[in-house]
Amino acid sequence: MSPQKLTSVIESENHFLRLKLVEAKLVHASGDQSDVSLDELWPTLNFLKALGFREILFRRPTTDHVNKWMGRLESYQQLFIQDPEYAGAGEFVWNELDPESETPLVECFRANAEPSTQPFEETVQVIELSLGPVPPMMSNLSVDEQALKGFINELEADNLDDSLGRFASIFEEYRAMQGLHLPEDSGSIVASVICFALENKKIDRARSLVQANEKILEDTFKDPHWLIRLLEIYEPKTTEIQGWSEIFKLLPTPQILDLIESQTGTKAARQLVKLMSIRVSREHEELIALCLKLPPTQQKILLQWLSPHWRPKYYPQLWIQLEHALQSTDLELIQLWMQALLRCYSAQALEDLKNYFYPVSFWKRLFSKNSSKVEAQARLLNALNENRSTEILKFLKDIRPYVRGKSAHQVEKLIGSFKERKAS
Amino acid sequence: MSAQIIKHVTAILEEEPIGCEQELEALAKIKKHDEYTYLHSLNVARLAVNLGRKLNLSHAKLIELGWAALLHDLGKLHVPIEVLNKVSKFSPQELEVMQSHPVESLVAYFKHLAFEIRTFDRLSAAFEHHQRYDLKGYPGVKLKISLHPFSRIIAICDTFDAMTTDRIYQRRILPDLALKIMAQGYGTIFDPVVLQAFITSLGAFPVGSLVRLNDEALAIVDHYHKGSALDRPVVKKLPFPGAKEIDLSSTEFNHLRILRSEFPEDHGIEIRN
Repeated sequence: MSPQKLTSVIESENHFLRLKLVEAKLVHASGDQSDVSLDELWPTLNFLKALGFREILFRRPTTDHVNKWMGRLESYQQLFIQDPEYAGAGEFVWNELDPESETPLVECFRANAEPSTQPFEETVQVIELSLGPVPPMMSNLSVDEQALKGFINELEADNLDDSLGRFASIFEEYRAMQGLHLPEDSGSIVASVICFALENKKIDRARSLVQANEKILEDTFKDPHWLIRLLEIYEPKTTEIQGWSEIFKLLPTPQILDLIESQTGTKAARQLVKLMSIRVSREHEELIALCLKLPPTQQKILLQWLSPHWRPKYYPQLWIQLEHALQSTDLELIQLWMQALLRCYSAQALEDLKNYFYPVSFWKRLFSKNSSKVEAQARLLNALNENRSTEILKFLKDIRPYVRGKSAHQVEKLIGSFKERKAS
Repeated sequence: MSAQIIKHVTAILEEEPIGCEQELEALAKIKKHDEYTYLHSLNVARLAVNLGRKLNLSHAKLIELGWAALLHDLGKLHVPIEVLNKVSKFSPQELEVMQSHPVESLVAYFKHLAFEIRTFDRLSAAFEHHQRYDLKGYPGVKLKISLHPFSRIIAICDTFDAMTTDRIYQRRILPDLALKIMAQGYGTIFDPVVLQAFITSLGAFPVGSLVRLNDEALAIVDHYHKGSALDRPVVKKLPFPGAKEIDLSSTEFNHLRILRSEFPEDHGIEIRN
């Protein structure tokens, strides 16, 4: 017999078919019995037998009825195979009823139920069923060596990319299922995997994990322990920095600046410098705006990167920053703002700086503190000393006639050293 | 740590689980939560490792496969026991909770076990074992990547054990029948290569099956000769002792064939492994 022969058997038996599943016997109208193979008749009969059915009666089923019944049972079987413990057997409908009379056309009997004695009407119906794929129990009982070898190779190979992709998929499902109620440690779970990806040089995977889990990672990126771990775990090559830096896109710049200061000399600080460099090259406009608002300690770090990006349009803001800095004793800060100002618009800067050295009117002098002016002059001259150029030498010569006392001495000394350097 | 659990795991992995305290503790939690799930996990691991041995996997992979199988239902720790052992029909909510166990395995893994490279393989098996080979199972995933090889093995062993174990609401299915039903998931629910290897490794009538021969005699499947057809094992006719071995693969017994398997307890027979 060929597989799925059930329909032709129904036909040959004039649609009066009684099948004993346990004994695998076909009961003919005469009452005689013959052996059959359930596998060959229709493999899904094994499913019915396995679930405790002992007999099936077919009564006048049309092609549509049988097709519908078989299709339904095959889908039950698939559900059952997929999850035998929880496939809702209680929800399965085993019999096929006549839609009008609601009498069973195909009736399945469990071991403890008596089969119906209702007579069958004899009509001939030809039922055609397509053949499914040949399952292994009915094929040559051997294993395809080549395919098996391929599977074993796949199993023995450690494909990390696949594993990380799987994790991303698992976590995505998990996130979707949990909705807004993600456990607190969700960020740590993702961060662990990102660390793992980085450790194994899977930068793209690490980046896509960050992209997919930005919200979950917000707090994790604020935690210095995680941050330093993520930074230290992988040192990107020059060609990788661009992609690598995107892993840290959630990290606020002020936090990077703080960490650069607190982690000086560590591996993390080196990575932070790389991170800042790439960030400045991409977002210098935003970082300039940020720099103007930051406290001096962070300004001092950020100003070191901003130097090439100063344009004349920033001049008024830089001038304010310099004037503000001059009120402090932070020479490094003054020097950095001076440098920025000169980079930005040196001619205008030197012109405006002269006002610090020219004599002031009677009224201005009356309301100013003389000592602070002298200190500001000294700080400006110190800062200019760090930015030597012909323009500055000219500036020094220009202010020379107007400076007095300590400042005059400092100007002379500067001009002297400028000349010495030029001569050498 | 329970000596009994260590003994069970040692028997499956054929080595003592040294340095696996966290894994053993996770197993102990499963055992405490639901004894059936624990025993099922042991059975699935036993089947998976046996198949792995037949496939000549490396020792390291065998151990990993064993642990992946032992912990494949770790997510069930998050499923209430009354749902796990419910006899009647599930409500839609209960079914949702039940089917959430592969996804819940994610948190369970990170909660109970240290994060290591091997976690990925084990976690994949826990997450994917109901996903089906054609990825039409649950949980549904957007990212369609083929199942991890461990998942493909464990899915088969999981189904086989679930079918062949007695439950309160359902008598177990005889192993040969279970294999025939599983064969209907060939290439859709199960990886065809692994399913074929699994069936080949057990035989159409697994060793220990009580079978009815076409001469009406009852016999026990004793072993298979290498290369014999899967439905032609060596059997021992009842009654024991003194039962004669019949090699169904030999031409001498061409006239004999197995009709079906039967439940030993229906004949007052107890078969010990």
